[in-house]
Amino acid sequence: MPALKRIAATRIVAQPQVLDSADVPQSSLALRFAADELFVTPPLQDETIITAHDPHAILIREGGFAGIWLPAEEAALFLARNCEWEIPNGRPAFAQGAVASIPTKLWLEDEQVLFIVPAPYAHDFAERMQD
Amino acid sequence: MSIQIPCPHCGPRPIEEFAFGEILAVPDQITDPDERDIDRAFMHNNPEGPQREAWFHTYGCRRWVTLTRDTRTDQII
Ligand SMILES: [Zn+2]
Repeated sequence: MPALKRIAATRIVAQPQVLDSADVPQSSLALRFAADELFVTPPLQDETIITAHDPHAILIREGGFAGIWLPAEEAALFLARNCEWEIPNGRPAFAQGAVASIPTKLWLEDEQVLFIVPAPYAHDFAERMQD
Repeated sequence: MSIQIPCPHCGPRPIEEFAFGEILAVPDQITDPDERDIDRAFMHNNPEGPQREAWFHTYGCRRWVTLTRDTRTDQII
């Protein structure tokens, strides 16, 4: 069974315009969960890139998600069978919604796709990937 | 194909991804605070036609979406 791994991240809730222009390190993956919420993995080393611009921002270390990378072709097959909504065409792209009836976040690159689910669903998700 | 709810952040998604949230409205003519509480708790609206509703995108951005749905056709206006 494919194994999803816990993702260490920083979860940020801040003013949307602060997140729009946040100077997140190039090597990090920054996913916009909502207009006022950003998920950055690996965890931010320098939180002042946010707090300097929004003193009311909330930053927490987040370990509650698990993820797995799949090759793009394998991911497309799995999504064709398990996703009711339209996957964005451009790459890279972020998308989120129900996949195999589990709340899933997708980071789609040309060659591979990262599937992220709340960690309590990781086992169920892995099982559904095998079906 | 189920009803699609347009989430402004995530895009159109099937209604099953959302949790319904009624927008409680107490008529203005009820002014007594206790009566307003009773109306809010028990006298739910059930209009035939357009209704303002809130839907929580549980499977996506986890934010509320406010929209108007025609209860006769289930169309989102
Ligand atoms: Zn959404």
